[in-house]
Amino acid sequence: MDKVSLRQFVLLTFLLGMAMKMFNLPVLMLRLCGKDAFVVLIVELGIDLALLALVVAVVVLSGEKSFGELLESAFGKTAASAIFLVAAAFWLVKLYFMLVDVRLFFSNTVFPADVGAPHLIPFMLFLAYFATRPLSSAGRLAETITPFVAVGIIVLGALTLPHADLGALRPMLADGGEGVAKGLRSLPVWFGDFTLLLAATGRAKGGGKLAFSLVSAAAAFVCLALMSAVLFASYGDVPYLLAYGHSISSIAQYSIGSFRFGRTDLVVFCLWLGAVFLSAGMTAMFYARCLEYALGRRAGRIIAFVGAAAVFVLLALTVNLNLATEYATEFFALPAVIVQYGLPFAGLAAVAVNAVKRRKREKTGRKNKE
Amino acid sequence: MKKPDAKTKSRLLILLLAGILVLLAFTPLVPEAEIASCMMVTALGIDAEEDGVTLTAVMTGGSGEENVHGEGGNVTDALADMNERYGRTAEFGHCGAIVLGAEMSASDILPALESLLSSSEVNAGCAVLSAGGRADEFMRSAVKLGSGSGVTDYMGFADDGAPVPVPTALGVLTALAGKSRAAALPVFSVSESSDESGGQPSGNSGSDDSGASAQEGEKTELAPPRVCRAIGGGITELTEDATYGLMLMSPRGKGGLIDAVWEHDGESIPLLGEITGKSASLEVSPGSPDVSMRLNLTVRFADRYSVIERTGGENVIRMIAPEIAEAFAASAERKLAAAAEAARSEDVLGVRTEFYRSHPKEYKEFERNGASIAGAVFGYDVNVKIS
Repeated sequence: MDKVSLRQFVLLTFLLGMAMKMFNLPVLMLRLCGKDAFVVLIVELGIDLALLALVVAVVVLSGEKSFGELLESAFGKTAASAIFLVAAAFWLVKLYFMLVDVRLFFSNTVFPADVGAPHLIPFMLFLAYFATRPLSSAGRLAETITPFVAVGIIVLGALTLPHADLGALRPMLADGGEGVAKGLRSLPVWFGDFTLLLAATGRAKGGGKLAFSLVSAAAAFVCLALMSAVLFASYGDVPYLLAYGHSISSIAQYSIGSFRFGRTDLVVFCLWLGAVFLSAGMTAMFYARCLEYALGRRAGRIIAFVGAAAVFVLLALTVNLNLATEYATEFFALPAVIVQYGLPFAGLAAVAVNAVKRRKREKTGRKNKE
Repeated sequence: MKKPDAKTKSRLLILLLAGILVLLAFTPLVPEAEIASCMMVTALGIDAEEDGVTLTAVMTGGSGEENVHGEGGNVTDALADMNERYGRTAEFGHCGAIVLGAEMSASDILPALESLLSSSEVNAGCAVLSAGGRADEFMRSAVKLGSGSGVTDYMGFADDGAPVPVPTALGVLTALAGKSRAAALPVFSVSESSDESGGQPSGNSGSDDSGASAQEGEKTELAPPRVCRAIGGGITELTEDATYGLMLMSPRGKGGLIDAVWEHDGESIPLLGEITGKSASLEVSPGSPDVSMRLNLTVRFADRYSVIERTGGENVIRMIAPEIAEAFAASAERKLAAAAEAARSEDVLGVRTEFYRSHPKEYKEFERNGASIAGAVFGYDVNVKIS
């Protein structure tokens, strides 16, 4: 049976909590929200923690039912399929933006020139393969790479935090809540990754102990908040110096003194990239599973590969990566909120509806006996 | 034909992925960064001219170091000129120092640094210093200090142990672009004098804070920095005391040596200590504004035996330690006061910045009234612990 253990679930939570948020997001937040970026980050992370609590509740309360079976038994096959098709479309688009972030990172931080889409072919093949694997593969991969990611984060923190003047985060909310509102309106695409853990519905061992994943998520968020705070404090007065894709690497180079000791920050980032691969893999897996449920296994897999190919072609045709990032903030914030935060609520609603139906059945059964 | 099992499928997939990775490694998808086509720059000098800027870069190669030049209306044009002149691309990944000409004002420095940092040409953490005269003359002389060491290694030493704060490029840009609109740059100069002894030049090692040229009868030395130049509304050279006070308040640099005078039994006894620990903070309250400079120092008393000789014994040292600590504190406070006085004209202490960060609403009113700190009231809280 395709199941993840409690430890695997907790580790998946840790990795999903920070993986894609250390790429483009801190620079994007700084340029959008200015000195209020840290406030926006804390609020969004708080919302994500609440989201994780919802997801864990769905996973625990669903019993042995998978997410598809849960929605189908509550709302019927047609409604459930419609929900999954919408979700699949969103996750495909999100996968595109994740790959844009990866391209930006390698173009601005690693290589001397822009990285073209062909560079991502091995990564796309990995994602396609990962999408066909059972959830337990993700769990085992999480167990393998988490120690490396943790070491990378600890080393990065040890090298950057002692030199940081966190007092430079101030002043926050100097112009009221305008910066915060702008950030909350524009950045949901980069959050809500815990919704992917709905794939573990009916497949996670541990019962109520799955709530430990909240601790693991909080640990990931503390790491992310500290790294981002260092960037915000150092560049808060001059955000125009940073380009999308510079990410935490800028502050790492600054603190480590890469002109003296070389690009040791790249070694650290190589360790952390494992989390990125897993996060993107889970996104691809969720996207494929949504299509398999809605269209059947064979048709679902074909459409999944077609969608992935379409994403690759779009990525190859994307010349201005910065513009793609800005589209994500302007046009895809609302779909991100609806899908990423709506799915767990749909799951909870399905649990409630099923509970009501079960009670009605039991009542009817007792009446018939009498 | 027999369908391959899961294990065989996995192996085929791994072989396919490995093959793709190998092919990618040998394909020209990314322009090759050949060392031969790059000029590895270890230090960059910038001079402001009437119609633009002149860049002088110390380029390091297999056979030693030499200078390269570029001119243009701005830094970007000058870099392009440099690349075109020598047929190579200047690579700044190992650039450890940006040397600014003495004539450069804030309005010259700001666009130059913005240009270099926004295009990620140089690391934001490289040191920024002011030359005694023109940057190109300094660079020409500094190159004579020998290959492998020279300017940037001295920066590394100066960063920790010099009695002046050595700011980073990001620090200078933030100070000039922020509310304080002023930065303090250490002044480095190279002196050339006749070597009357005609002796052999000494080797220049990374821990040596002066170098010697290989020229016969001529000695080139990198003079230890003693003062800073305050750049803001104008350009002002600070006194040694003010510079030392700035260094005490700066998060960078450990401090080096501190001198003091101890009045004991009607006698003025000079003391010397080594600062082994330092923490400083600036607090600004709305008002005139009111500025509190807090400084905690741990000083290793370097004159122990001469004081024992004068005062009569090791036991006396323990009794008089508070008096000695007080003497060092008084010395530190004098230097802080000198820095504060300098800050009234050019805000090199970052008073406006701290005011804005802690009281943004009151700062708006302060800004409307001209944002002058000439009338600021400075208070000092200095604590010294003798180790």
